[in-house]
Amino acid sequence: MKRRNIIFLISSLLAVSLSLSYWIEPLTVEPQPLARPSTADYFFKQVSMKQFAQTGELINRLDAAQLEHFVAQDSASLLLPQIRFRSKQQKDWLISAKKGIVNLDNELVVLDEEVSLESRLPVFGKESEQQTEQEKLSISSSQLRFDLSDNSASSNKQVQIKTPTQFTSADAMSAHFDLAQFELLGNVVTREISDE
Amino acid sequence: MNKLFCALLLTLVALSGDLALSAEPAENSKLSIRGDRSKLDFAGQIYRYWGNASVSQAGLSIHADKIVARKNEGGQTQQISFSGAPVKMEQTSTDKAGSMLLTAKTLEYRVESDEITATTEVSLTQKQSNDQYFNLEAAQAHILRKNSINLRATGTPLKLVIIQTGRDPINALAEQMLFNEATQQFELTGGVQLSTAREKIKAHKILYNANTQILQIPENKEQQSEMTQTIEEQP
Repeated sequence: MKRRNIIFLISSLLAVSLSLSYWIEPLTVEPQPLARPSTADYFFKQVSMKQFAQTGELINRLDAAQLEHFVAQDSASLLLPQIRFRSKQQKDWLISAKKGIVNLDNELVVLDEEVSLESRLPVFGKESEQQTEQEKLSISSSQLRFDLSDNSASSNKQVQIKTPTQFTSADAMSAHFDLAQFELLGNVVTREISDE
Repeated sequence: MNKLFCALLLTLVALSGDLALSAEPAENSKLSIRGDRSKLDFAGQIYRYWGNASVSQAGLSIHADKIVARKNEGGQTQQISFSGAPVKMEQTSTDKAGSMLLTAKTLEYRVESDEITATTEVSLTQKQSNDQYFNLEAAQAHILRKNSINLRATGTPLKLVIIQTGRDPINALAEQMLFNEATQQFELTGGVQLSTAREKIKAHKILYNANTQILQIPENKEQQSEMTQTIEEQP
């Protein structure tokens, strides 16, 4: 009788421990697919996009170290983008930045980080007209929206404009390169630069 | 050792202060223009500024509602036009003893020749020191800032008040006034009416030197001069 009780007790404990071990055992999770680093459908390296007028004249040229196209946004991210264009004033410009996004539908390029705009550069593979020292112009900002369709740009970040004789800073800018006109907003300060 | 360190530190602090002070005039001598917003026309070489607009350069500050700066071919600022209600100009001399305060509706500053022309409702106070100054109300004032101030004002008539300690104020009406800051010479011409507490003088031209306090009426064959003196009755 005693022996039977002992066997019953042991078998009961075994049954309880087995049932508990079933519930305690961690659930095995099916490995989830890793999120894709991007949803880009294609990318290019050392890309160059050129826009031509009906006459065959090159209007502008967009170069980048890398272009990655995103389907959802229908836009492309750019690494080290450079835009070259000639304004109606026959002045050549080079815009460069660390990165950017281009929307090819509306020809809008948003440039980000260390944005620099410089006139007086040979564009389209030939030397631009001889430019006098006074015509040198450089603009820097941390962000810039450039419209390829009408050669206009705007920035709501601090902008610095430097000529050989003057230095101007402002909180925001709207530029029309074809008219060579720049509208500045907020704390505009122009200082003469001494001759060195 | 500590004393030596302190002395060295103090010397360095003093030197850095001197350096900062000596750098200031050079920075101030450069022209700077400010505004709440601006339009830079690089093709036309015209810069426009609006809203709390001001120009400052070497003791000169001009505040206006609108500023238009025109550049020359070399890109240097050639001429600056100011308009406002009113335009306010303040000029402090290098020794900070004298100062000029001017208000007008419009003002033109020719940077290269250092000339300023103020027009319409011109009001000017030129302070030589706390106890010597003059007030002028005129239609136009032309100021040449080279070395010292040379002022030419016109009006129909212009009004001048000269204040000097220990003397009665001199009130004058004239069509034109010339003033040389270096010599402190006033030259009033055209229907001049000058009055003090005792005298009233009418003449075509009157010269007055604020340093020597000598008043001269040059001979004029076409127009007689007239002086009326009020003598106080003895009690």
